[in-house]
Amino acid sequence: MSFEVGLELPAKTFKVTREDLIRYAGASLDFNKIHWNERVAKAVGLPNVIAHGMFTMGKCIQIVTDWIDNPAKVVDYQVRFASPVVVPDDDDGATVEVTAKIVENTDNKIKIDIQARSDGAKVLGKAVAIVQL
Amino acid sequence: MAVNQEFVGKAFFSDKWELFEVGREKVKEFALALGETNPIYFKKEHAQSLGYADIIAPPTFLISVAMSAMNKVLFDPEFNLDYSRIVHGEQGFTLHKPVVAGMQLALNTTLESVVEKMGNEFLTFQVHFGEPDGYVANLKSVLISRGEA
Repeated sequence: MSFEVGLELPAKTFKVTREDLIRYAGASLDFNKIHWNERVAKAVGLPNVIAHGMFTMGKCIQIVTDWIDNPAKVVDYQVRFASPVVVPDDDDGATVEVTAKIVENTDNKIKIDIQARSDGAKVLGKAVAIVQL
Repeated sequence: MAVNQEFVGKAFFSDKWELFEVGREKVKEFALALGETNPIYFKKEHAQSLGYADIIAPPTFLISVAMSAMNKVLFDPEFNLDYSRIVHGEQGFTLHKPVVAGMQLALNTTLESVVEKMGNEFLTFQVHFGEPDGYVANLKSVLISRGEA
């Protein structure tokens, strides 16, 4: 397995449906209504129901954990939430495209920059994971 | 509407750390909700073959515990916050050791700062997780209370 700086990890695409958000709300105990109730989301000025930032964050790290196979090697993971993933009430939901690249490799620690976009907008900013080899 | 600054710097549960156990079924439920398929999250024997005592938790698992801890501040009527105006600004996880099912962890939550920028308030929380022999993880959360304007 190569850990060279500049290496692109296999890209990923995932879908987010309302059902995914309900399931994540239950598992994570985050029941904020903006993640499942269109009426409340719109009342506070959002375009529609939005995905939990933590759902997006949890899905995006899979580009690293699926590649490295042992997720316990991820020792640090930081993101900024740039724009929300808006999830329509249909069977297709929203689509998020994820790419990642190794930007540093020192002392058996590799730093990976992660990019995620949905509907043309950047959903994560400054998303960085550190893997301890 | 401004939140109550008296909460800043106050460590919640600092004199009496809150304790919880990393539940195996909760780990599986969390992993399933993220569509995970790696057997390290579901099969004890597999995790043990890799040297762990039990299944391990996904990297972002501790947020569910940290969120409940932060909610004690956010929903305190004296904190004066409208929860529907909250959005998640930033999140960080520093994991000093793998989070394994069955671990008994203590946690300590601090509202580190509240900073106003252009009508929005940025609340920064630090949540530390530890075992008797040292820290397991640190979570930093920046929540944004969006202004009315």
